Order: sequence, then C-alpha cells, then structure tokens
Amino acid sequence: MKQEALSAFQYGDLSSFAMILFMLTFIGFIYFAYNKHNKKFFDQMARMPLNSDNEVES
Amino acid sequence: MSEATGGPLLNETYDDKIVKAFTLATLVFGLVAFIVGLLAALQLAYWPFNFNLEWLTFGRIRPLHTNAAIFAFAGNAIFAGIYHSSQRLLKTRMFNDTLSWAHFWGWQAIILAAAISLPLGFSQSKEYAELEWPIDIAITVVWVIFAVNFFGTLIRRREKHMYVAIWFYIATIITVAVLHIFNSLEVPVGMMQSYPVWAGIQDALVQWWYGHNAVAFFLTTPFLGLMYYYVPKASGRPIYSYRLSIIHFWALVFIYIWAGPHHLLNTALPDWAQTLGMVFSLMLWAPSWGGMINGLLTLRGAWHLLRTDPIVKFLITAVTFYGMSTFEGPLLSIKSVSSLAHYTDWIIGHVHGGALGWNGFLTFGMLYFLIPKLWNTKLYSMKLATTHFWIGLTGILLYYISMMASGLTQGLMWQAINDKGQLIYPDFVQTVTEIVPLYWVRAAGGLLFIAGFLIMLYNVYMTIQSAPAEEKAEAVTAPVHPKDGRHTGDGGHRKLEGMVITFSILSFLAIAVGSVIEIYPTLSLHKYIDKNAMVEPWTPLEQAGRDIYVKEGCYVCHSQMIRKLPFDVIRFGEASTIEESIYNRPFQWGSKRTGPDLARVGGKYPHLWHLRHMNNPRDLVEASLMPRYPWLEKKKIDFYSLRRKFSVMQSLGVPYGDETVANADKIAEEEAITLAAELTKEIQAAGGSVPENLERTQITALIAYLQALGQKGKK
Repeated sequence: MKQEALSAFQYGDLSSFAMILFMLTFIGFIYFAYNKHNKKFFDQMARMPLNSDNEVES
Repeated sequence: MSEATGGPLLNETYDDKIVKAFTLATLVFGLVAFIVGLLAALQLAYWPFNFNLEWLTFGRIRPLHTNAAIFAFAGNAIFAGIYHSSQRLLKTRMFNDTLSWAHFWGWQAIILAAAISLPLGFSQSKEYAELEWPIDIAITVVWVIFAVNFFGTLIRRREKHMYVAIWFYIATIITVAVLHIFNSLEVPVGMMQSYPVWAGIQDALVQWWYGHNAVAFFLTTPFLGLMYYYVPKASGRPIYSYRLSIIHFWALVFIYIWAGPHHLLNTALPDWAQTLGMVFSLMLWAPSWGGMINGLLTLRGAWHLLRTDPIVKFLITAVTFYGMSTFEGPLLSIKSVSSLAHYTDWIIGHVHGGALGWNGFLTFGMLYFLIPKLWNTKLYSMKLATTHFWIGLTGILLYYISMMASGLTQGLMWQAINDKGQLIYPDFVQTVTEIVPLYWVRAAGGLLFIAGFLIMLYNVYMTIQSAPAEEKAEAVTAPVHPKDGRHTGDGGHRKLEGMVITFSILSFLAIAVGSVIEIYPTLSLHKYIDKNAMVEPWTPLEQAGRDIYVKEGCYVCHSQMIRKLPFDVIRFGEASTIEESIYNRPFQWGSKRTGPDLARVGGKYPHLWHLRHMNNPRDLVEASLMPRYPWLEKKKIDFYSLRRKFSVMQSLGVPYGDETVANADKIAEEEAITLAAELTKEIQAAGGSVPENLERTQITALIAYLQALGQKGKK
C-alpha cells in the first residue's frame, strides 16, 4: 500500500527534507512559546483586549 | 474590569459607523441565507417546493444558500468584528474611511449580484466558487480594498505589538486572496460564462484546495480571531494561555492548507495526494483542539457566567461546536470512514454543525455584545437572548442528528452486499425514500434556528429603538504602557509581530509551502496519465449539453466519479479514471449524491427515457425527488457561441482540430438533427406526441451529453 501510494510521487528526498525542516520549525515555536523569559510579556499581551477601550464597565 | 481604562484620550475617534453598517448587513443577510436554506431543505423533503420554476430549482437554490451563508452572513459578520476589534487592538481609527465604505458597498453589491445571477443559472458549478467571472473580478477588487485598508491600519497603529486576533485576520486576508485568485483563473467565453484554465483532476484538486480552505480561512481563522477578542471581552478575563495561542496560530495556518484532498478520497486522484490530505487532516486535531481548549478555559473561575450571561452562552457553545466539528472533520478524512460518509448527508450535518454552531453562534454572541455598545444603550432583553439560545441550540441538534442518521443510513444501504455479492438495495431511489422523513426533521431543525434568529431580530430592533438620539463616537485611547514594546530583550517572535510585513510574508510562506507541494506535482500530469486510455473530447452538441448541465447545477445532487470501492463499482460500473475527465471544464466529480452517480449513465437508457425523465422524473422513477425541467423542451440551444467556446477550449489544450473549431456550430446543428430524428422515432413508436423544434431545444443537447457520459474511450 505504501509503495502504491508513493509510486507516482518522485520527490522522496523532498519529503525527508520537508519533515526535518517542519519539525525544527515546530520545535522552534514550542521553545519560543514556552521560554520562561517571555512569560511576563505574554501575560501583558493576553490582557490587550481588556485594556483596549476606554469605557468603564461595572 | 476595574482597571480596564486605557491611557489618555487622543484627538481621534474609532469609526463605529462602519461597524454598525456591517452589523446590520449581517442580520439582513443572515435572514436571507437561513430562509433560502430552509427552502432548499423543504425541496429535498417534498419536491413540489421547487415550484416548477427554473429560478427556484434546487440546483440553483443550493448555491445561493451556501454563498449567502458563507459570504453574505459570515462575511459581513467577520468584517463587523474585524473593523471593531482591530481599531481597538491597534489603538487607531481605520486607515481610510473611504476605503472602509468602498469595502462595505462593494461587498453588498457583490452579494446582490450573486443573489440575481445564481437563480438565473449563471454558475461555474464549482462549490462556493459558483459566481461568474465579472463577479470574481469584483471580489478581487473589493478584497484588495479591504487588504489595503487593513494593512494601512496596521502600519499606522499606535500599539507596537499585535494581539493574536490580528494574526488570524492577517492570515485570513492573505490566504483568501491567494485561494480566490488561483481557483478563479478562467477564460471568459461570454458575458456571464467562462471555462476554468484547470481541467479535470487539476480542477478537482485546485477546487478542493480552495473549497476546504474557504472553510479554513473564511469560516475558521477569522472567527478564531473574533473568539480571541470577544470571549475575553465578554467574560472579562484574559485568554487562558497566550502561549497556546501562538502554537495554535502557526500550526493551524501551516497544516490547514494541506487538507483539501480529503474531499477527494477514493476517487481517481493519485493515492499519494489522498494520503497526504488524510494525514494532514488528522494532524489538524491537535491545533484545533488546542484552540478550543484555549477558548473554553478562558472561563476558568467564571463558569457561572455560562449560567447567567446569554452572550457567554452563545460564545462558549460556539467554541464547543468548533471542537466537535474539528473532531469530526479529521475523523471523516480517514479513508475508510470517508468511504462510508462521502456523498452522504453526514457531510451536510458536519458542515452545519460548524456553520450554525460555530459561525452562527459565535456571530450571535458577538452581535449581542456589540450592538448595545455600538448604539450606546442596553440590550432590550437578556431573557429573549437566552430564549434565542435554547431554541437555536435545539434547532442545530435536530439538524445535526437527523443528517448524521440520514448519512449513516444511506451510506450503509449503498454498501450493503449480500452473500452472493449483489447489492441489497440495487435501486438507488430506495436509499433516498428511506431518508425523506429525516429531511423533514432537518427542515424542522432549520425552522427552529430561524425562529430563534427572528427573536434576535426583534430584540435588536427594540435595542436600537431605545438608543439615544445623538451618536457618541468613542475616542481612541493611547496605549497603557507606551514603552512596553521598546524594552530590551525583545526575542525573535516579539520582533516578528512588531513587523507587519515580515509577519505577513511568513504567514504567506506557511500557506504557500503546502499549496505548492500539493498542487505542483499534479500540474505535471503526464506522469499519471495512461496514453492508451486517453478519451475523445466532447463533440460540439455534447459540450452544449454539458454547459446546460453546469448551468442547472446538477452537481449538487449527482456525482460523476465512481470511486475505487467495490460497492460503487457494482452499482455504477468501472471506477472512473483520470483520463475520462481530463478535458472537463469545470470538473463535475460532485460532492453529494442525492441522486445516482452519472459518470457512466450514457447508453443506459433510451433517449426517450431521458426526455420523459427531465420533463417529469416521477413518470419513470415514482419516488424521485428530482425537480422537473420542462423548460428544457422550450429553450433554444445556443449554437452560435460554440465556435468561440471551442476555440477557447482548443487554446487551453483540448485536442480539437481547426476544422472542428471553425464549424463547431454547424456540427452541433447536424448532431442535433440526427439525435432529434432518433428521438422522434422513439416517441412515435411509443405513441406519444413529438415536441416542436426538437432539433433546436436544449433537451436534445442535454440528452446528447448524458448519453455520452462514460462512453468516451470505449473500444
């Protein structure tokens, strides 16, 4: 089935390259998102919608 | 929200007039979309609701319904939310008021053009891309206006950092532009007719790359942006995890674009593309649920709001529906599940869970929140909003459950094979009559949804009535901590989101990678085509008939793609090949079988059968749901345009000889005379009366086309 699925696809190296590239990018984003250094900044960002207008609600 | 006050007021106001305009347009077109949907639902339950009027047949009403729901209702809702939230998140008025209004009126004009042209039968018969080329161009222009206005606002913003909602808006604007342009590459052959440059399998792949990402980037990413803004606003607490929202955004944008081929599972599409579509669809589970959890958990510590506040009820239920639909979607994308569910009402149930539950309820929640603010008053009645919620929810559940039951029933009946290897339900219509009761339940569900919406309209009307006479424009506030963005140690992504252009290019790359890898290999078609299996292109009369088939929207109920599945092959004949549809502009593989597949219907019945069947299907198939098409015996074939059409086809690479192109009209006329003579003989033998001018009426062209289906390339 795998053979059949890939028989007409002639870019085998491309898929290996793509997988490695995508994995690295993904790990990069995880690292960035969960880096403790950024936490305070994210908390500020998260409050943006709540700070974003001037009406005072009850 | 005690500290919700911003910095000092600036000498500039937010443009809420435009938000009001989009809000009202959302409500008006919501009503239209829902009522047209109800009409379509009733037509399937009881065929006389087609009213024997060509403008109201299901084939034309269904595209009107889908286009109205997606582009008119959801579209206006997105614009209302984007214009409202972006100004506040970016601390600036929209870039240019004239552009805002050009966007508004341009979009409404497009909707009007769609509402007129679709019932008149001007259709490209590609799902959610039915509108003809002049309207396609108008859409592009208006979208560019919107983009310029939006990016202009981004550039003049006072807030350095872009909140996650803005990222989703950016991805939406870029991707929808790319999708629309590539799927609408077409060559005009008349004022309101065109042929796509793509044909057959390419057209199928491009169309579903577009079709699926219309769901992803018109009905998902913008609404997620709205979720990330309005759920915190309505509940008064920040989003559960900003980190998760970053992962959510990039993973979703990157993966979604690959999922299109799951609409073509088990078809003639090469297996690797099917597998790719399936695998990426399964991967979507992760970011989708990450986003859902992020929305839901925003309410942590404030779950009581779910009991007391109808706005929160709507928003959180919408997010729950998002979770359910994005669970079901990947499930349906598994090849074996698809073999059961594809072409059935399960898919219809699935999309309505998303459209009514996620898009509908999120819009309602957002509007109940927005309208009192925009008109500077209080909502007329919270109680009525709660009533709307419960009635609407009941409607959605009735809709969803009936369609899932209907889909499973029909899917299982199609598959049922006895121990001799024969179909247990060989008569297709049997599998349809079985589900008609469920069509009534679905219509009842839709009716409830509309009833809830009418309550909303009343509530909104009363709210606006109570608004103070003078309008109050809200002043723009300066960012609370203007220095925030400038502190040292700005890491990679933080810089990134400060830079609109870089960010936009990266988003574009994220969607371009999948698009190119998936579509490019299919454009080098020669690898997949068996030269010995090539078929003859349509003859002029057949092409004239095909244009009628396309115009009438037959694809909404009839597929032309026999899947490589045993029960499909036993029922309809040999599996369809790539070569058979290679010249088809547009492809007509279809996505739903309310009627049988037509890929090999040619030669199955005599001409007379088709004549009588198109005049009144019930004369031949007693339980048929199909509308009557008596006007096909009156309307004339457009012979004149055939030469132009064939010259376009030839230039697009269809192997027609110069002779054929130059004489396309005459050849068609001769073919029509021959076919009409055969038909006349059949009618006389059966003792009927021969309709007038048979050799010039559309029914003859259509019969020529139907009789040729599956007959090309036969040795």
